[in-house]
Amino acid sequence: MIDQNQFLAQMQEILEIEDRTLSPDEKFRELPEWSSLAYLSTIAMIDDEYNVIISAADFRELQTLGDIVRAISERQ
Amino acid sequence: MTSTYNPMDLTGKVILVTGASSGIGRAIAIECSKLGATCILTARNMERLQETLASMEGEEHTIIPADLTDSAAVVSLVEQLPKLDGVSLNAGIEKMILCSYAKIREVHELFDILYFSVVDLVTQLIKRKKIRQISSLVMMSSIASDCHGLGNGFYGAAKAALSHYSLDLAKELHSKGVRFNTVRPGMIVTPLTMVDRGEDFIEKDKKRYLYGRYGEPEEVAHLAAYLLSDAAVWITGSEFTIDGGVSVR
Repeated sequence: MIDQNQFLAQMQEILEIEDRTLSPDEKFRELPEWSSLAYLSTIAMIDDEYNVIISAADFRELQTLGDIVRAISERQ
Repeated sequence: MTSTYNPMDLTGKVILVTGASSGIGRAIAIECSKLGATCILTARNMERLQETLASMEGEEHTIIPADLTDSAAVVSLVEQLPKLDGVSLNAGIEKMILCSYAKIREVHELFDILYFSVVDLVTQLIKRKKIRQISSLVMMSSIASDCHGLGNGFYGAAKAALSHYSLDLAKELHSKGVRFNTVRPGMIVTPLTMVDRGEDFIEKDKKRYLYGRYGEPEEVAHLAAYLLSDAAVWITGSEFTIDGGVSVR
């Protein structure tokens, strides 16, 4: 079972965001911190922490951090 | 019919091509056959090796399927080979691995295929005297061996090790007349590389190339065939970049 808050904290770490708290509604691609490194890190972190692999094609459909949480939970 | 001048003619040469089931290896096998060589094709997948064979010219080519990461399979392959005039080493995989999330098993897998399997095969070829006095070995490296793309570090490190190995071989075996050279392609359109890399990676990445596109396997095959031919007789211990100008800074 994925803990949404824990996932958001992991994303904050990847994006190196310390001055604010990310919400599930956040459209991650619109964040100035989002980058190709952030993308690769997110995919690798999800594999590492949740044992879930989200394909590039599926990931492209995801818009918000909440979408990622749902995608992980559907695949667990 | 008058004979046509062609310094890259490979008539009469016997060439082993690894990774011949797809991509660059397949293109090299086809190109060598068009230049008159007799090829021995190897890779793991018999069906795809037969597809390569179907696209080749000439009737003398043979297929010996083998998993080159399996030492026993390498010995068995080498025992079945005739004397060779050329070897084109292309077997490979690609895997994006970030340093922060590296799984040692995946790093080993990259090195097993890209580096250790080549060392194993070349050592067996030398030991069992399968390489003729005057011959040419061409290793498929990558510009990743000294460019640092995100997630490409371990792949690049394995290719750098391969490049280093090729130079060592050139030095060690020059008196036997064996030439060793390395080809370093940029991104080439093959089933191995054209996987979905996420977001708009490929569209953005292509723009870095001076020609605005990736290379085709046939374009690399021409260079490999040249290095395998007698036209390159004074070339050994060299590395050749073929990358549509992406390295130009």
